Amino acid sequence: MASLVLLVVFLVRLALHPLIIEPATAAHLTCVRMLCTEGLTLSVNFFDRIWPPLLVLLYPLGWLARFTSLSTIAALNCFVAILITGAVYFCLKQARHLPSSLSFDTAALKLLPLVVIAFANLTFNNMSAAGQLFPIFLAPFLAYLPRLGRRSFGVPAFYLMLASSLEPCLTLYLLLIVAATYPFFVFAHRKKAIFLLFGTVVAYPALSFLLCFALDTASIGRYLDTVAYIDWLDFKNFNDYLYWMEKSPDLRSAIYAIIVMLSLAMAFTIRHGRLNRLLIYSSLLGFAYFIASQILTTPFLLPMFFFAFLGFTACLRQRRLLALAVLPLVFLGSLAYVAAQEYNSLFRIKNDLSIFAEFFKDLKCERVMILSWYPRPGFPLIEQLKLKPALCTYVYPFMAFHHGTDSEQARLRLLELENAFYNGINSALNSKKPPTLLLIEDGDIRQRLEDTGVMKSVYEKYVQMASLSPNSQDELDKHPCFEYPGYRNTFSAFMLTKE
Amino acid sequence: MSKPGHYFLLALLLVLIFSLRMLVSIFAHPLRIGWDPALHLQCAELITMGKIPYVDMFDVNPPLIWYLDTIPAYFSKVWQVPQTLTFNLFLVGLMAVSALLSSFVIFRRLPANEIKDRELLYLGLICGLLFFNFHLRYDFGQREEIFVLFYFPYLLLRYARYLGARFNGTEAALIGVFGSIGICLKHYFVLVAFFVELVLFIALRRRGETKSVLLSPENIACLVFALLYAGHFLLAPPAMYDNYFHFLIPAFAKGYQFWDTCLANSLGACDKRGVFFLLCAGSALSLLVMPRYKVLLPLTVFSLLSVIPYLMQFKGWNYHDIPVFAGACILLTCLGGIVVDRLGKLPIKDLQPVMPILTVCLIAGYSLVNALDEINQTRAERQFDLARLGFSTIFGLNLSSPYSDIDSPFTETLLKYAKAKDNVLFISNGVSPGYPLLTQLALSPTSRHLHCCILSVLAFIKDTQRPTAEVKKLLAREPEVIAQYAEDIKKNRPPLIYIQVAPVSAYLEQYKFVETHMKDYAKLGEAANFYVYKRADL
Repeated sequence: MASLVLLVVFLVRLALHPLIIEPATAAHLTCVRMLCTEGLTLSVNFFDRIWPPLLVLLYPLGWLARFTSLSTIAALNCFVAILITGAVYFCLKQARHLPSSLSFDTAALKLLPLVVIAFANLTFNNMSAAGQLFPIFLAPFLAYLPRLGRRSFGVPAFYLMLASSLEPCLTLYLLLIVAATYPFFVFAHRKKAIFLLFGTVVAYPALSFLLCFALDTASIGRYLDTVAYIDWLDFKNFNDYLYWMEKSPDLRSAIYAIIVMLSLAMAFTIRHGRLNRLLIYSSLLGFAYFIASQILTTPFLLPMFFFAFLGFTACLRQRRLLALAVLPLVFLGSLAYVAAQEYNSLFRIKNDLSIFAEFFKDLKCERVMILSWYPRPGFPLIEQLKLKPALCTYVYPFMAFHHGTDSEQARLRLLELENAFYNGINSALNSKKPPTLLLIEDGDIRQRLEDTGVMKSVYEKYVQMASLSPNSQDELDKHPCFEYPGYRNTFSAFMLTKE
Repeated sequence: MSKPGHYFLLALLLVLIFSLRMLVSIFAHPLRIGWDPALHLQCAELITMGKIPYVDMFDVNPPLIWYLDTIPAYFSKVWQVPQTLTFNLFLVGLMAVSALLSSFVIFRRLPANEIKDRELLYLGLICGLLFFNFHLRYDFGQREEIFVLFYFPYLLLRYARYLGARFNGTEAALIGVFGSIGICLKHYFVLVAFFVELVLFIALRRRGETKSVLLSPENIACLVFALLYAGHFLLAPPAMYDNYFHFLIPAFAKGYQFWDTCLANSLGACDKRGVFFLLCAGSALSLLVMPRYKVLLPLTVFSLLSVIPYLMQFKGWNYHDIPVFAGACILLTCLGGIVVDRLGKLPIKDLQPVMPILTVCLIAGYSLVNALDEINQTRAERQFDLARLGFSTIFGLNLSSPYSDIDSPFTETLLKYAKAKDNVLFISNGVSPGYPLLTQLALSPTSRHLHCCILSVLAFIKDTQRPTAEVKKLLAREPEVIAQYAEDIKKNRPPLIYIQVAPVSAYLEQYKFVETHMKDYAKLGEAANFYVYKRADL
């Protein structure tokens, strides 16, 4: 019942905030929209760091944008809401088959639907972030574990397929979790089911790569050169601007809480609770995922938090004295948090649009170009306002360009991509339909554009009309708060003077 | 091999192998020491000379590490050998004692049914406890390492206690004090020890034994030592108490964030994340086998919880994660022990009984080859003659030190203008570069301020805090610090003064420090963000 109440709350919130979305996901939506509506080719005349499995999944939304006026964000959120509802329903249904005696494992599975929907509510501001969706998509798989090898295999397999599409890192994470079910749940009649589930996780990404290759034989090569290679360089190197104070969100309190929850959960389940140990294991892998992100923002912490929270609350639930408190605490705590967030959002900020929204709306430009290191502040705003960015969602390879690489061969390879970007920017500025508005991040990006001569084209055709700051109190008061790694540089806004 | 006694002997052999291997490193590098350990050693030396902490020498760290370091400082004088060498020997001794006590707890006191079929896991544990020390290099001797070495026998004793092991009062109390020394080195370690104890209590307690397990001799001894240590401040000289509790601690509490970093750098930077990936790997793999190998529970929890003090300090300094690294290492060597045990169970005749001895022989062989490599490498380097520091022989041996151990942008000027026992002044807002150079080159500090971190702290407070009465009181001490530097220069007349360009010059400029108090000094030049001044008469 508590789960259903929270589910209704979640769906109502989504109806009230149809445009709420996490920036990186919004950038991917913009990418598919541009590919479908403008007939562009990924990594040739439009760049984004989406990978093929996710591209295949989101592509229908791009077509939806082409033939309807429906917002891709609203459509995605609607789809995600259906998926979350489906996941919760499946977990509730599986929970009915559980024995009434409360072991650690059954406690975890009985709490699972409530924790999933509470989690979705608590992470609402990061709606549709990969880190938010990943544990939710794993929930049916967890619920299915006691009945491995039996019917209703299709539902957890489907959700695992979705989980494997989000990001390459999360696919590896998922493989490690599914592989670990073998030692945890190794009974003869379940081995086949585990192998099949493992196969699902591998099969979907493989098939999507094959599909992309079949449609365009050069697409995989381009993905490897322009996205996978940059992902690898970003992981290998480190943005040294993040050495300094306050250059990434301070999530230490959350990490302390998670570590304490994990430690106590381990203490409770050392003797019993295979599933709980699997949850703790998954949370520990989540810590590695969080660290590997390098920018260490909240969406990357969510999987670690989810598994730790579920494992810990299950341990409390299993103890007789605490059992009565856990459910009401989770339920009421979630409601209180939601109420506080909604009050802030509906009555104070009154705006789901991201920062600089007023500036963009006032100018009424459709074609824009925002050149920034990270998705913010261009996203999710560009997708919320259905603007058309030229050439790229954001300059995602810039950290690699800026910090360089060690070997000569790698340096030349990077230089080729860098030239493609700057030539692409120049071409876009000098095309028949150049972007009407340019937003260029001051600091290293602008300096690089000066050095490569791109700014010459800008000065010839555009006039600087404003300087926008992500630190402006006015912006911070009117829009939802956000996380932002690195320096919060100002953005110079340039308007096209002649078509 | 079937009896715990045999495995105890193997553990002793491991301790011997690793200790000998470490001794080779230490004698190959008699001057090698990190900056913080050198600073603490300096404070310890000053205490042996009758100086009062926080009065005759200023540093914000709590004094327990200095009291401990008086042991190597004292023996350095008695044996007439470099302090760096006695300090490193002290650490090898500590490493060996820690591993010996741990082996004793495991193989002589754990119930037999807990050891059976887990012998190699426990040998792996001892291996890990010894092995992690080899990866610390310039952080060898940091308090975090010393904490692990002191604390581990106590952690294992607590684990054994919960499993029903029996200890006589004396051995338990001694290990309790041993553990307490480690825990009291930094207040953050109390958190780790408390939560590990809580986890053991939840996981392993048996009905009817709660009181006896909690009120055990080791816990009482641990608590008594901690209370005695805390209580000794009440007996401290008033100036020491006042400077420490009413100036240094409040100042650093408000201003130590000057050196803060961000979470991305703390965990995600390339030179730091490896430790946390090791932690994740070790902990995740341990979970797969934890119910059968219960000792992995306190080890995993210790490793995980050690992340909290690292993040609480929030400086991103690598040595703060030594307990995480040590815990991860130990987990992985435990898992390695399990793998070796399983390999021993392969259907190969007579393999299982010889597997442990074979493993120890392999470790011994590798250590020998590695030691010879290190000796050859150091011999090929440029050497520094220790006779220049007054040490013509050390323990009857003609030792020299690789020059790289003392190489820095300041070494040449120090060797040219200062000699052993001279005093030199580094005015730097970091422990380095004054330390370890002063310790390595047998120089004394000119000033009671061994570094000027306090000036950066006060500057940070001035920039960021509201001017409350407490803040004003703290800031009012800044001129006093400057005056003390001036007084010390006038009294001790160091041949060399190094002043950090940024940010320290700006702090001193407002007092016209160089013009007023260094009239007898001429600027030699600049090196690595330091102005170098030489006394004019040299």
